Amino acid sequence: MVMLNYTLDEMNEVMHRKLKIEDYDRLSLKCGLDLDHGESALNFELTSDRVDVVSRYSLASIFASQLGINIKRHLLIGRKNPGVAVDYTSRRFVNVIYVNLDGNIRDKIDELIAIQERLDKNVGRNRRKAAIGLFDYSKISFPIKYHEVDSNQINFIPLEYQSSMDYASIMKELKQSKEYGNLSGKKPIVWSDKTGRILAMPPIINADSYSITKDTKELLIDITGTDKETVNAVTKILIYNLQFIGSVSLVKVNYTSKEIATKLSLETHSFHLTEEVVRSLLGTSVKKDSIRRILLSMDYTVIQSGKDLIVRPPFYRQDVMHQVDIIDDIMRNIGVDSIKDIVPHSYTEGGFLPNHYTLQNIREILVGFGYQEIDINALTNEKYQFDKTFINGQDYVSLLPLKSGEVTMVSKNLFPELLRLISNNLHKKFPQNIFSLSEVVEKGNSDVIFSNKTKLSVVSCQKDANVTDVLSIIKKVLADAFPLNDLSTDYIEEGFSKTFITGRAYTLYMNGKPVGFAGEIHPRALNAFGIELPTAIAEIYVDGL
Amino acid sequence: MEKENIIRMLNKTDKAVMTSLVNGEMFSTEIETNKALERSAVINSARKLLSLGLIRIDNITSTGVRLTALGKQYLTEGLPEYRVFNFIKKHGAVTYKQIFSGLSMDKNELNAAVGSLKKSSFITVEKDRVTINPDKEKEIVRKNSMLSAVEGGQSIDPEEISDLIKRGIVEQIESIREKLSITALGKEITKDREFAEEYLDKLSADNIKNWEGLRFREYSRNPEILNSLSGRSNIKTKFISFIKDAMVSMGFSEMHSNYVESSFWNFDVMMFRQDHPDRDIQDTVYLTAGGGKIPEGLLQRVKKVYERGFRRSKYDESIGYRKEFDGAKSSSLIMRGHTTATTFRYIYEFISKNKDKPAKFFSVDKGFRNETMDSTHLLELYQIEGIVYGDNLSVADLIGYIKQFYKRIGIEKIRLKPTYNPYTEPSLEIQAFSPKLKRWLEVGNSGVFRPETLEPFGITKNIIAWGFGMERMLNLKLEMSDIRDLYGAYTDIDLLRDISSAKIFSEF
Repeated sequence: MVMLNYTLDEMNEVMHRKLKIEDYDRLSLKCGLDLDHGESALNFELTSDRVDVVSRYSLASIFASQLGINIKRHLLIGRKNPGVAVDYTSRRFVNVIYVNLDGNIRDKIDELIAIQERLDKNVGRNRRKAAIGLFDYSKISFPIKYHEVDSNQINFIPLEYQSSMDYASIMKELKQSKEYGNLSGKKPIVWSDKTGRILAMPPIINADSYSITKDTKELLIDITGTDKETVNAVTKILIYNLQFIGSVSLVKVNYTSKEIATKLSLETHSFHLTEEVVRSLLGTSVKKDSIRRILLSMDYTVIQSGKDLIVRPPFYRQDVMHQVDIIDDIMRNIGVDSIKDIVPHSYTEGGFLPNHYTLQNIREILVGFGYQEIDINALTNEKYQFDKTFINGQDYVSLLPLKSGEVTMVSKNLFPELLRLISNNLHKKFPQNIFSLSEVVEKGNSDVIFSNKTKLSVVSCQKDANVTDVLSIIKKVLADAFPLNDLSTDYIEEGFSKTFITGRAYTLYMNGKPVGFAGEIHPRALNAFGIELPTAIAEIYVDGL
Repeated sequence: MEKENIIRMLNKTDKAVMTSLVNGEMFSTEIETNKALERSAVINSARKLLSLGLIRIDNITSTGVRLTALGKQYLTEGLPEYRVFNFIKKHGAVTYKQIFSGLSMDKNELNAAVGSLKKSSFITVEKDRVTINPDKEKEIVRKNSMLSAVEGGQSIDPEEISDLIKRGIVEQIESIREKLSITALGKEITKDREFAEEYLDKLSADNIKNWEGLRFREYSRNPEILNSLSGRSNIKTKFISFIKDAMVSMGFSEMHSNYVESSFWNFDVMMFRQDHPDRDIQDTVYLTAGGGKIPEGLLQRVKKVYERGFRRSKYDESIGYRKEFDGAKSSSLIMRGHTTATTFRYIYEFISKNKDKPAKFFSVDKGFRNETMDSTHLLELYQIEGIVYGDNLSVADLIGYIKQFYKRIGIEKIRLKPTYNPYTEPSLEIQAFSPKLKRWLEVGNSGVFRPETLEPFGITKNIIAWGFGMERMLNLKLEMSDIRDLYGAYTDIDLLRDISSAKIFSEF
């Protein structure tokens, strides 16, 4: 999400209208922007598709197309060839543009820097894929060259510094080097002029001598990066946004090899549209003339050809891939409110998952026994699943480190999570008789190696808790929900020797097939959870029954 | 109330609690230990004594702290600044270059550590030579030892480790303890002769036969009517059932798939750009294991559409992303980020194999995110999702389904706002007007699946879809401020037991 914050006056100045906050509120809702506002501050939040909207001019253009306002923009893109050469480097893709500003830059300098920062961050991915450099054109002695040099050749006054610095000092002392130093390759890359003086060391820092000031009237801008598409996208967006404050020319770049040529093109794909194509997606009719008018107001090129409209998106739009994207723009212009809803009419038979009623029944039985249902998390920690329950963990889903140190794996058993819940609720009312009917993840025969399994866990924590009472509940559940009446037990053999009190822990069988286990938690595990009352548990697989 | 009447209401536990407090205030837990009483008995008694004006209860909130994943890493390695300080100390005076080459640490981490040491004068830089300030050694050792203190559960003033909290090395947790103290009336009553008298609490069979002469303990005029501990199904289950019923009654069939998912089904098939930030490890929960199996033909078709788009007719063509698709990323395993992964599995298994039949599917299931948990963010959330496949479906149909569904779950007034989703176009955010809060709130997202997402399945008709996060809507309905109170092991069991189910069926 990109945030654009302006005052009401700043926006109205570009719009050439005295709009009120409520007007911007209404327009934002219609166009799909989020707007937070104070008394005169407007904070717009843009969705990530409209990467081209990085200034108040391009932002205002969205609203202008709604209101039929024309915002002045230098549409003609010139060509210039002052002498720019680019060598093969570790950041090998380079575009250069020239801007002849309307007057000098004065009050627009902050906006220009903001455009640069937004593009560097959001499209250039923090200058990794593409970065922008700004120069005062009049201060440069052409021809200039983009090339790698030995670090001992670096010596210039970095932007906003007073004295010359060598490579080591620049890398050590500049905050930009700390942020972007790791983006340059083994050898530093520089722009140097015909006298060999260094203009900049992209993507880290420019030289102070060529920096823009309030009196700058002409700009030279370089867009350098590692990803050709991103460098071209940033260039196009930049051209568009700068067309509102000056006339832009593409600077001819002499690439030393073909493979680094960016082949920047401002042409876009032609899409065919008809009234019917629009109607079939929106479910409402929009006349061809209206479609044409709307798209022209949004800077599309539209040519009529019989019943077809041949539509070309503006060169700076990165988000138009299919007709549906153009129709989405039409929808935003006419307003979603103008689409009348169609009441659902096609018949299909609805249905729950096959185990729906079984699970519902199990819940009902346990609630009847006075048990509270708990919704257990799938994400947990070995500390609870294995350490505190003294279980030897194996065949479980282990996760790469997460932001929350509390989560390292996916639940394999439910009862450790229920014990954990009790340990978090020690000051709450007892008895705490609880159950969970949830999915755990186990190794299984699936295309993702693991499969979900539905389990039921019942935990009784109270002064008289014992495993036989819990078993009687399980017996009732199995008899009623499945119905299965031959629950049998045997002492549990492996895996839980330290979890339960010996002689009070069982493997549960149905028709001779193991379906789960039950037992009274050993004091060593209760102590690990800080639980001070006897606790008995049972856990069974529901899927296999 | 008369003193005598009060005394006649006190049971043994009440008296034990009061005598414990005669010599000064105590935590309820201390009384439990000293008097060998059960926790529930002390808690119930304290509530009663409070209502009789015999004691006061103060909730003492204490802030605890624990290490985050990063904190645990530093516990083993040492804080970055501590490691740098020690490195310089070991070598006497060093250059920056020596620090950077001598310590195997992340560059950004190292930069930040050096910067912070310099800023706080732990180190001095003179002519490229960095030395430690020996006066500061104790301070840095102490700072580093805070990690083991936190891990060991020692009580630490959060102020002292505010820097570690800010840096995400330590996180704060809160706990509440009840401190009880006796009032003047309470004290007076303990001194009364009657206080030592025994009153009968429970009737035995013998008492019933020989009742004459017995003195029964009296109950208060307005006894505290406790919430009885009935069994209940979880409020989330009730809400889920409410939603499922609405969906099934609208002709939708329920879907289900595994929590573990491949990047292919979670991202690629939905045409998420391969450099989309949601795919980063910072946002997605990745497994240590990998190697999901992907249907090869489908993978190739997705790759083709991603790279070059398609042309079904001049009115239905896509130019794709015009970027290379790296199939190697597709098999990595994750905890699914959204249930749309399930939806696409059903599109593959059912819709693409029965293209002539209309279909409606829904799911209410979990999605997982790599988040730092707080009052508004969780790592796993229930998502509700509904899709409709059929002839001539449009945005107008989508709006029709949305209106019908939300009405069925008690939300009448909705409006729609265009938005952006990677896999739907147009996309519409669903907003509902809250009569209580008197403002519009986001309650869902929707759209028409992009043709690029359906092309690999050979589907040319539109699929419309909508969905929302259940916890957010549940919180709005229940007027809860902390989303964690009903979250897994963090659930407040008393809240869960007492919360009114009626709220989930009404408007918010």
